Amino acid sequence: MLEEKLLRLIMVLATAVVLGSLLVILVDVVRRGVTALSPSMLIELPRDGGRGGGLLNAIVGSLYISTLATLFSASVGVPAGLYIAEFEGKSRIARTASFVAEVLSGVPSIIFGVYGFVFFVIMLNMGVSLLAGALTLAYLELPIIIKATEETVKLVPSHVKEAALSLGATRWEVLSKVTLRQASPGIATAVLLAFARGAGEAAPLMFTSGYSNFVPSSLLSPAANLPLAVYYLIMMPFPEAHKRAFAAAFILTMLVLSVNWSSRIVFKRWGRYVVK
Amino acid sequence: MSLSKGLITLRPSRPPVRGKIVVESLNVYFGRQHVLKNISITIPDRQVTAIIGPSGCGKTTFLRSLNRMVELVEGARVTGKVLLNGFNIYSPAVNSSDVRRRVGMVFQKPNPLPMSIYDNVAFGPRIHGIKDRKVLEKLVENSLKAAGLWDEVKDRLKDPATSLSGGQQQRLCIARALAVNPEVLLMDEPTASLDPISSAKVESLIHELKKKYTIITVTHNLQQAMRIADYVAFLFMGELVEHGSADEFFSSPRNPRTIEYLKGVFS
Amino acid sequence: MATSIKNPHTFFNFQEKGDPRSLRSKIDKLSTCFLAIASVSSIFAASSIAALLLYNFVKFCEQGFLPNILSDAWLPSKGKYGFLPFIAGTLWITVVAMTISLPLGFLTAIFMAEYIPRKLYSPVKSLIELLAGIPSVVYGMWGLMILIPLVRDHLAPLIGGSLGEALPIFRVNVNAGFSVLAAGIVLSIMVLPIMISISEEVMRAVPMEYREAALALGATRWQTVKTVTLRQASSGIFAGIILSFCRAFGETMAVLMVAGNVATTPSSLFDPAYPLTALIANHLLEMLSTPSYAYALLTAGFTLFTITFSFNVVARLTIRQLRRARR
Repeated sequence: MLEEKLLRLIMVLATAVVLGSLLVILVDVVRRGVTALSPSMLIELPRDGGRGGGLLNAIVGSLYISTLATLFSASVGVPAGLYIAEFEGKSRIARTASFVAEVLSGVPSIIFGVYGFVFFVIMLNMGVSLLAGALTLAYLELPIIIKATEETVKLVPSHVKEAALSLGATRWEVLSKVTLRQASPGIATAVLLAFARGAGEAAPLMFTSGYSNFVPSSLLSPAANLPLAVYYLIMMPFPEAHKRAFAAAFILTMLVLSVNWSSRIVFKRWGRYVVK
Repeated sequence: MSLSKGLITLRPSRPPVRGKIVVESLNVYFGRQHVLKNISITIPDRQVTAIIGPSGCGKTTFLRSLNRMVELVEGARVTGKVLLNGFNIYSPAVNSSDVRRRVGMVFQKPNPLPMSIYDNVAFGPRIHGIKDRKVLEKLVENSLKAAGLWDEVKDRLKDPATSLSGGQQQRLCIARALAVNPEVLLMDEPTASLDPISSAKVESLIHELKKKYTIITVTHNLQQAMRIADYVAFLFMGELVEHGSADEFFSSPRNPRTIEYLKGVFS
Repeated sequence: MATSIKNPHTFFNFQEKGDPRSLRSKIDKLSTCFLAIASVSSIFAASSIAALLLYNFVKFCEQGFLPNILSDAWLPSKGKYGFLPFIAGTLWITVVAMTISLPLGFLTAIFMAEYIPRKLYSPVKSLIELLAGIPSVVYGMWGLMILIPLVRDHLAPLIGGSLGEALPIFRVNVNAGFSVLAAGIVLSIMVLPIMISISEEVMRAVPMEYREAALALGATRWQTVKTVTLRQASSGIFAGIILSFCRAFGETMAVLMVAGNVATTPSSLFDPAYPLTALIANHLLEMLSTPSYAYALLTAGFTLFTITFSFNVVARLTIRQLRRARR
């Protein structure tokens, strides 16, 4: 049928355009980044107002901020997700928390930045600091972790829980020793994905952790991060700065993509004991 | 065979009651639905009691009311008494966790925990307070031996429980239940999802186990009931129609409904 | 038959230290509390954000700025806060992004759900997910380096020269490359993965039985897709569109770098625009100087929040309803 063939062709073209454009971007980032990258980029601090030196401040800053933020958001988000999954029918708190997580996941990233600036930097007097940035980013990561944990835990089959109960386990023991174990690959994946997402964000950190040409020395000192490094450097009118921006973009992209990819491996490995 | 130190059953210092479990006027409601109607029966000690009846007549609900698992259903209400060794398991002073340790359960479809074979069996003892590694190891070994699974898994105790076949998983679940030193073993159609060879293995296991434990099994399979049961109870539409020793029950049933059922009119 | 026993606790007795039974039930009760507190923290987070924005919006209204909110005069120094250029800018860019990504994403999703050779499904899906992970600054950087010159040196002269004569939407008023079009294109690429994955998931969820029934009646593949799959999946696809819209609407970094950030209402694809997100990002620090400026910027934030919030809720409720119906 001609209509069928034509439509098929259009669809293949559309898919090709989509994949093509995405590949074009990736290839461009890699190409520019690899030529700009050198060992000194990784271990030196910036010089000459961004025209020389390396990206150590941004790399270390990003790692500190993202790790701290993910620690915060996971320690609140995973228990919250567990609670919602177990008690959704019976507790208004659970239902509200679930709804709220939906809401938060749609909030534009700049809004977190605004809130973080007013609340953490000014009201709580943390100043522009690593801590304020990490907390702000934690707010952003929180709904991701809550939603994913909730969904994973809901998938735990009831017969697994029944088995534990029939042996005399209390509700908490079932939750912590059995449900959690069954859900752990999914939860671990969620945490890694949240980390990757947080690492790529710039807007929430612009006004909360600010920027610095040095490695952060304490929780209350300002900190650079890779996304903002890309932004500031590319906006400068110096080609040397642009070079460093390309390197930063490359490192950032590789970081994010490898964390994403490793979450799949974690999922498979940890899934050894999981009951279908 | 002493399975563990630290889990001891005290016997009452009164004249021993005739049956292991005595059910008195048990009624179970799920919301407005009256699922079990006024059941009273004495389950004999160290024998296999088979609960038979057509599908949906409340056999599983009855079984689950013997270890307080029925409470887990939304809107469930239980009245009457279930006496284990003379003591009502539904009394407010009694902890359901205790009851379930003493009255173990094996389910229709094997339900291993998401852990290794070793951890599955060790799960019960661990939550009830046994921490000593050597004690646990001995406990796991003895339980797996009692379930007839030890030789097959002794070299791969750390493997995931899901790597076992269906029949092996069910025997693992039996070992797991045995590890906490129960007095009663409830089995809900334990061979329903197994192939004939595994079913035969489980049946011979039941035959061994009844020397030490009181076993109550729900079964759909009348031939199986005839093979393994010492005592039979026939449930129909939530009511206990007839019960008695297996010989009497199958050779000369008294109640007309029983006769009908055995003739195969229902289900 | 029941024998009464004085102390039930000694009857069911464990020979263990410290009566673990009551400890276990205490832990059981406490743990539920602890989990509930964690959930409350998340509620606190969202409410405090909403409260902050709402408070500033209220102050904004109190100071009498609300009536002029849709004027196009943005002069903070003179106390004029008209948001029209920014709202228009955001809308123009979002519409361009949706116009590009909707057909592309939709067709790709159908292809992946119905037509793709089995071996290719996994790699293609992985590739799309992979690309959803690329940070927005990187898209912005690419836009700046590649897309802006492309628009400025090739697309603007070409399209502006030809179509621009007749249609004002294509007229090139200022040729800087920083434009609605550039921002729209970058956003459309960012939004494609969401659009594709949701639509594809929903289409794949349509039960085989429905499709088989249509095929058995003699329908071609495409007819089946058109009448059965799409109809069943329509509310899910609709939800996907809404979520993509939200994403495009709320994006900050990428548009910040390529939209031009000039505070006038765009009248052509090649005009620069100043989205609300970029406005906030550029001027947040200045708000410390004047309170009314702060109220205005946070009101912009409030607008963004409420719009994305409501659309997001609608979309997710639709998806949830669909998932429940499927089960």
